[in-house]
Amino acid sequence: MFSENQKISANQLRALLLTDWMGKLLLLVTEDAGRLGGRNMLLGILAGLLLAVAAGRGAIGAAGDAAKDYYGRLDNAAGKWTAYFIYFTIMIYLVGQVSLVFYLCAQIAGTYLLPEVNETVLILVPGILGYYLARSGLEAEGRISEMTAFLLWGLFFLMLALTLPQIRPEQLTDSAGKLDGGVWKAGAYTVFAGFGTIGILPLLLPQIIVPQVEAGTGKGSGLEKGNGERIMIQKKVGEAILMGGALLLLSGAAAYGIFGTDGMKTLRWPVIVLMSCTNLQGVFLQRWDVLMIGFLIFCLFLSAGTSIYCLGAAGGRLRASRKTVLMIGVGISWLLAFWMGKSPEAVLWYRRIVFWFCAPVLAAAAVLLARREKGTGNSGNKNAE
Amino acid sequence: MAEHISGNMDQMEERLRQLCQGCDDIILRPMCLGAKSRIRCLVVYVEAATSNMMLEDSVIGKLLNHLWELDGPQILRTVEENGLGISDAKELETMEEAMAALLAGNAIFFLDGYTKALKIGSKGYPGMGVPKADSEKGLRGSKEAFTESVKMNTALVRKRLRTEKLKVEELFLGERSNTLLALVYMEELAYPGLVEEIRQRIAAIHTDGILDSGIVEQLTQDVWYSPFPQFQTTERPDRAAAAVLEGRILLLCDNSPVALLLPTTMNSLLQTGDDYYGHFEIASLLRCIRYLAVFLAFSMPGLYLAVTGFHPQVLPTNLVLSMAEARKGVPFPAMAEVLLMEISLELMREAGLRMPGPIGNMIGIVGGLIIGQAAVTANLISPIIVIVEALTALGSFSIPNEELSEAFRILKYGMIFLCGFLGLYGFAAGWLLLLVHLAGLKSFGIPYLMPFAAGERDGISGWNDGILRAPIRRMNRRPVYARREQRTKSRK
Repeated sequence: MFSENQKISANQLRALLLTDWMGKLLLLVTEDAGRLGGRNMLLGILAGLLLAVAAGRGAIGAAGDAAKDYYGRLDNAAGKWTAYFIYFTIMIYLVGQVSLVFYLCAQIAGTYLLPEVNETVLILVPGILGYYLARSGLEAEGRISEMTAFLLWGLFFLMLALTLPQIRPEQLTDSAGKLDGGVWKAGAYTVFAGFGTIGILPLLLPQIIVPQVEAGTGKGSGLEKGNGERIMIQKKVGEAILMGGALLLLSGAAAYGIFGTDGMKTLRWPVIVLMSCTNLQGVFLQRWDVLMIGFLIFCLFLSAGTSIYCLGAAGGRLRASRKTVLMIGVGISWLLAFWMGKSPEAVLWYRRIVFWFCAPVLAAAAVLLARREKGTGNSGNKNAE
Repeated sequence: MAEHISGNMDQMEERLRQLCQGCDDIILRPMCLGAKSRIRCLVVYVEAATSNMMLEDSVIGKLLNHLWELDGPQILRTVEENGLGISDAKELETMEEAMAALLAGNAIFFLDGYTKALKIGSKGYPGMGVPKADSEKGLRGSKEAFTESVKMNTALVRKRLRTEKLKVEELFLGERSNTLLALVYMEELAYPGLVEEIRQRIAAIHTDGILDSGIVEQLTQDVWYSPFPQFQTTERPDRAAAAVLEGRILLLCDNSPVALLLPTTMNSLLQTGDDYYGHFEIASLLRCIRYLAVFLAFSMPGLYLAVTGFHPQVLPTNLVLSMAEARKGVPFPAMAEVLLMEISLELMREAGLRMPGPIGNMIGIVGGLIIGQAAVTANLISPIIVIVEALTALGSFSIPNEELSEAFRILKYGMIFLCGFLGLYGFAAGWLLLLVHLAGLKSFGIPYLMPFAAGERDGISGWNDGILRAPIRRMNRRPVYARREQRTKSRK
């Protein structure tokens, strides 16, 4: 029988990551990568995806015995204060993520759905939902993602595919642009940062289970930690990255083909304007973008819940009460989201902190652990069959 | 290898008690017959299938009365030679034959020193004397429904599952009512931990009286504040038997015609017994319609408010214009209109339930034609609202499980307020809140959203019997309720 153990399967992890990334990738990364020019954007996305896949494999591969607590391993590897610093970095990253999601929800809803509603209300709603979702636990989030991820992914894919007939081939060739190493590399880093949740995967690893039969270890019952499990988790994370990447590529190509370089530079969220180009002849509804925005916002709500949950998990590990951490985290995120709404500088500062502080620190933590685990011969092989 | 009847009363009685352990509805009546040298005998029967009237005043009763007057050796001779000439008495040589005959509803007579058992035909299990199913109608399948007697109800289930593996445990509950409960399950299919769990929960109940299974349900469910049912209710014995064959547990309560099935999932609540009696194509279509009904029951009024109030650009221009024209002159805002209609529908529903027979039927005509039409003519509400509410009501009535329908009936008001103030933003929020609650809900450890979530442990069988139903010949696995080692059904 099932038990209340706050664990999710590798398939649920894949779904959770997909719902976390979909909204942010489609909104932000399309917007950023879209300004690079066609060739640079394409290469930037592909390079960013490769980086993300490598990071995913690395983050999980460095995990050693995946059942061990991340904080404990950091503490063993580099001492208590380094572990605290890395956890603090994780929390900063997560607070930033949550603020960004709140800000995005309010901005999109305020611009396209509810221009007459006060921004305060629009920011509060995802906070309340995210808090409720986080309090329900990882199991509930995993199940919701499992049910909705592929449906949403399929809907977005379909919607984007239906815009393809509107692409003007001459627009694609005109928008190709010159290949610039600095530009596409920056684009790659932007795309990679869009998959930022990879950095906190080691935090969730002890809560991910892989049935033995799935891990290919031959037996059909019970669970066992070991290489097979790690490989399965890497595979699922890779699948989530590739599915997100497919959406990104399709939306980028479609946006360029329809709007061209000049159009892309002026549009704030090209993917939303792209959705309004969807045309289904003979179907009852006149506009599809409104519905798709609703689905996008649903993804953002789920993303907020996931990030808030991870915030609680990280804070709880640092001996704070999980509930207190959640409430303070949501409160700070609300304030930051309000600030982002009032000042474009705030969004820039968020990007700088994530790109130049959080991402390098988390990458360094992964490398540190990998070297430590390799050095002590504790690569997880001892738990394999 | 067949187990022959030994003729030794102690051995035979011990063996029968072993086989019938946990089957409290099977009665073993030991007796001593004979005027001078007493000879032991044993009568075994299913209580409701072979009534006391049967025993004392008819064939077996007369047999016993006659044998009472004879000596020991004479008793043996009479039975061997069928001295009373009972035409439908049959000798049985093995314990297997005896059990089969017992479970078919006959009385079985064992005599000390006699190496055969005597099957005495009885009137059998309850037939069409039981009532018809009122609230769970169907085109095919049995029309029988549970009665208010728990003994009768267990017999109705045993009639369909003629195996000693079907266990019936009787429990008494209620300090003043001492209400009889029966826990019915298939020994090799149900999880022992689950059986123990429900036993413990029932044992933890301390209350004056249990007047209906609904009270047991509320006192034993996992999450008391959830409007969603964590037990499935049924009044059909065939449905109950099918659930027991899946490894679920059936809880019968005396004086209640409604049985409880546990555990349950939302998917199970949206299935009917008839789903398995017809072709898989039509069963699948009907299930899709029921899921659509859930969407309509929960979302329709809210979606109407969101689209007309905040996002009219979604609809074709002609429709928007005609809706605006229809609403011209209506003094209330759209949300007030919706709430007015909802409350009216609730009043009509309650009035229809309370009013007897033909008058209750009139409520539908009065409400629908007169009040609805009059309200539209008087420009109190727009005709679109009537259609929206009608679709919502139809959706609600199409949900097979009454408790699930009521849960959506309540939650729909939350959706109305969310969509009324926040349009599609509120619609997305409302659905997420619902999903979060359902995702965290469990019924005796089984996630409520199986097989759509957490279905990996169930394997393919969850999707074989989810929104779509696979052909019966492909459904060779039991669902997650059954013990893991019993997931495969026997197939030739």
